[in-house]
Amino acid sequence: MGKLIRNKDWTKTSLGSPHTWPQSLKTTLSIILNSGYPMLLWWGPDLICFYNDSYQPILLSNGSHQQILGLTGKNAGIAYWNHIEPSIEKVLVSGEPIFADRQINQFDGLSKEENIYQRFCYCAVTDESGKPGGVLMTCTEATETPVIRKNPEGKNGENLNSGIKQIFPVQADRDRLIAAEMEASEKRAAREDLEENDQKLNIVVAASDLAVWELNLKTREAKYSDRYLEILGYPKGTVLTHQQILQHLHPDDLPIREKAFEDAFSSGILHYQSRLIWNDKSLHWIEGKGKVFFGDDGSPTHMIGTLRDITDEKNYQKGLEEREQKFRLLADSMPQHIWTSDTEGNLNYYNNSVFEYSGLNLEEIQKNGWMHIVHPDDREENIRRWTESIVTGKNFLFEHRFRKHTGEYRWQLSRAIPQRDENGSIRMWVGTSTDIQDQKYFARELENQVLNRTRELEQLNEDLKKSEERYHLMVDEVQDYAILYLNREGMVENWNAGAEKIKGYRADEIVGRNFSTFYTDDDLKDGLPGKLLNLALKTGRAVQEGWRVRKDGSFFWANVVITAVHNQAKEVIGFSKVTHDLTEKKEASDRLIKNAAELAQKNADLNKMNKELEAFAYISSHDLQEPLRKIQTFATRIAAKELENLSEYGRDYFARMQNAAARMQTLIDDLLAYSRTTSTERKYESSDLKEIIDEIKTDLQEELQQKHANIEVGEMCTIDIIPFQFRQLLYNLIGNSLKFSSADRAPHIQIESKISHGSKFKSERLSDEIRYCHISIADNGIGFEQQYGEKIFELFQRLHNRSSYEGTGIGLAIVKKIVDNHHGVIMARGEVDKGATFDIYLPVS
Amino acid sequence: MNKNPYNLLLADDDPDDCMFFREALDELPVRVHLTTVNDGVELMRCLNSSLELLPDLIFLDLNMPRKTGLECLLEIKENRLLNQLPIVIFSTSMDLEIVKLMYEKGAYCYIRKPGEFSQLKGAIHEALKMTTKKKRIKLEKEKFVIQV
Repeated sequence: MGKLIRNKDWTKTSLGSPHTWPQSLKTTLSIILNSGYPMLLWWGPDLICFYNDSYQPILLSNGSHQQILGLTGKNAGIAYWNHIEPSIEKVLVSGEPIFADRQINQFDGLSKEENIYQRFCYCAVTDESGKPGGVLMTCTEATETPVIRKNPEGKNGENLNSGIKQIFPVQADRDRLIAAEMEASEKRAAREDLEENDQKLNIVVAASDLAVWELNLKTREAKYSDRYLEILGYPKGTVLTHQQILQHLHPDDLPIREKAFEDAFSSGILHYQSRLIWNDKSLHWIEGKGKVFFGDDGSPTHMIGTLRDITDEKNYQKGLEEREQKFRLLADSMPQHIWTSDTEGNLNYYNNSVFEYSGLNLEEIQKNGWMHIVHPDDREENIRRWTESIVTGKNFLFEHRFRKHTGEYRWQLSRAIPQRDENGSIRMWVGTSTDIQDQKYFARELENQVLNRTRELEQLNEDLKKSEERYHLMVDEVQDYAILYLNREGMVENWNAGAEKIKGYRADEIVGRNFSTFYTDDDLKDGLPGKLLNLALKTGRAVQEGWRVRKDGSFFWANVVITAVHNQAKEVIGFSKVTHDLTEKKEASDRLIKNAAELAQKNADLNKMNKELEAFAYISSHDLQEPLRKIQTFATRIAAKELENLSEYGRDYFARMQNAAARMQTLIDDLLAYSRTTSTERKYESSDLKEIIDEIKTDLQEELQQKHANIEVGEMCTIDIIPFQFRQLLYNLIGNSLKFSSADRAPHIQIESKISHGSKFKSERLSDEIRYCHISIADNGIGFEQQYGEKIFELFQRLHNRSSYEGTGIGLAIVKKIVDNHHGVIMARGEVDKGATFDIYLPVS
Repeated sequence: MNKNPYNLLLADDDPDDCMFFREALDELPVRVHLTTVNDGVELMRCLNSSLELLPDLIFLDLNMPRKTGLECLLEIKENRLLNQLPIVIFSTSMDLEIVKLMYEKGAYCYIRKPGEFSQLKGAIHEALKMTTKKKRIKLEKEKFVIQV
């Protein structure tokens, strides 16, 4: 060793070359080099290592580097350096020595395991400054048997340690020593392994957060690592008794621990989990594991083990459990069947619904396989699809029938999606099956209904088409009316033949244009089209007559009916427009109006003329009378005075002249009477006809007497008449009867009157609707030929010449006029030589 | 008849009629004094100017110029001094309405001028007879018109 020291190149170290070394170092070195005890010196702040030959074996057995000479403490790789260094530091600081014990197992080669107890003493070495400059470690070993340390020899027996003085060179023990040495080296090797393992273990333990504990089962002494204390919630360095530790256990978990320990004593393995309550009352979970060591008698001697804080795990696990619980609750509450499978496709979870529905329990399902719930016809496809999904990872979607516990099969829609982890690989499949029996049934029903409906609709469509065709033809071919369809804005959408005829446009020219095209500019200014549409909108219909414009610009008079067309919701969707060309009608009607106007005008003129004529007639008659009268008077004067002076011819002519004058007088009188019948006021009075006839009788009494005439008056009515006119009428008629009486018989005049319904008289000239007073004046005179029945009422018409019967031909005209004034009708019936009957019909109210 | 001459007043515009009237009177067995006026205005003036010697009877033609017979009738009948005078309407026309009107307005009687001279004489005579005998009593309607 000394040689080594001398030969080493120290310049590379922090100590420098030996000649710079302090005396204290040198002295210390000489001491250790000469000592038979293993010694190691750490010198200087770097703790450079020096050791003696005796120490070498220890180094070897420790597994440290062989030549650690000159290396710093740190770099030396000494076993348990992290334990040793603090001790060194302590010594350097305090100057007080420190002892450390170590127990190692060693084989002595004689198949006997020996425990070697090593004691290390760390003491300070003062340097020139008076302070510790290094630390000297001395090692003493002891066993039950003394250890005879020989020089370490290699395999070939060479001396490994040079410079070491042999302390106990006893020949007798030499072999034993060799053997012991061999054992020792083996032991050392084993020990080194052990130490290495120990070291490794420490590292592992430290890294794993495991707390290490050791329990002496006999003494109940316990040793704890610092981590152990941490786990219990205590700071490092606290000293706890076993009792104190136990107090932290959750009271409810004590039995668990007890049981675990009991089991450990029998099995040798300790494993339990329990709760811990810290001083701050927080709850933690711990997991204890351990191994029991038994003594020779088989009783447990001590236990070593680990303790782990599994609070987080437990909480996490609890959380997991709670979530799973929730999931299960949820899954079971749902009406759908929920199931999961592993990645192979094997179902491993069913919710409650599945059991309820199928009536099977979990074992039954698992035993026979869930496929048995599926309808046999669906199984093959089911398997195929499921397999496909499992293989491809595609979502599973399938409709199939499940067997209910009643035996009934119901359609289900099954869906499954894969659950993937962060990498995208499938962890499991989650599926649901929903009962769609009703929907399916419903869907089928619906399909049927739809089919039926479609058929119906098709039929309807056919009918509709036919109907529309018919209608279209109907509308289309109508020529006299323009039938159009307008949309809501008045755009022409439909056109028929009549429209083309009336308005002149072809369908292709007009469809799409607004119907206001047909209106005149004036109407457009007034907004007539819009007004009509609005009216139709509001009231449903708009009717109008007016001028419209054709395609060629010509006008026509149209009768237009615009009707609003509604849909089912009663909204107006368009208008139908029917136009009739009334131009001709209008023209006709215009003509009519014109004619009527003309007529009215003519009538007015006529009336005026009539009035003038009447006036003229009156006045002229009146005025004519004057000269006539003169003629007559003078004639009579001459006749009175000068007649004798006239010749016979003279007298004859004179007589004829007087005659003529007299006739003229009559004529004028009658004319006057006739004109009076028209010009006087029509004052109706309720009059008894009998009275009037009586008056006339009185007037005519002479003639009546003279002719032996008889007037027979029947039941007479009282009716509204113009008395004076009617008197004239009856006077004329009765007078006529007397005048035109037969020479063969006495005149007999029968006058009757009766009120009856017009229908009774069966005459074209009488209305069936009203009542008439029928007055008949019948005589037995000479009568007349019926063919003249109407002529006789005409003015100046006579049936006889003057020589037969006198008369002016005015009498019956006056009668007719009077009947006309009474809005009545007069008819004459006559038979030659039998008599005449005059029937007068006066309407009565 | 009476000794005093009967004063007649004829109001007529027609000269022929006046002549006829005079000739008729001449042939009648009466002693009358005839005054003739030719229109209504003259008639009224005549009447008003000879109030002390009013005529006993007036023959009044209706169609007279300037003032018609009707107007004169009305005027006379409204005149307190004149309304007692009997008036005979002497007219060509025989309009019943007019006849009625004359009756209502107080004419004494009505003569339609006849064509025959003899009838004329008869009518005038009748009128004279009536008025001298029954002056003050209004005739009945039926008797109003002198029938010839």
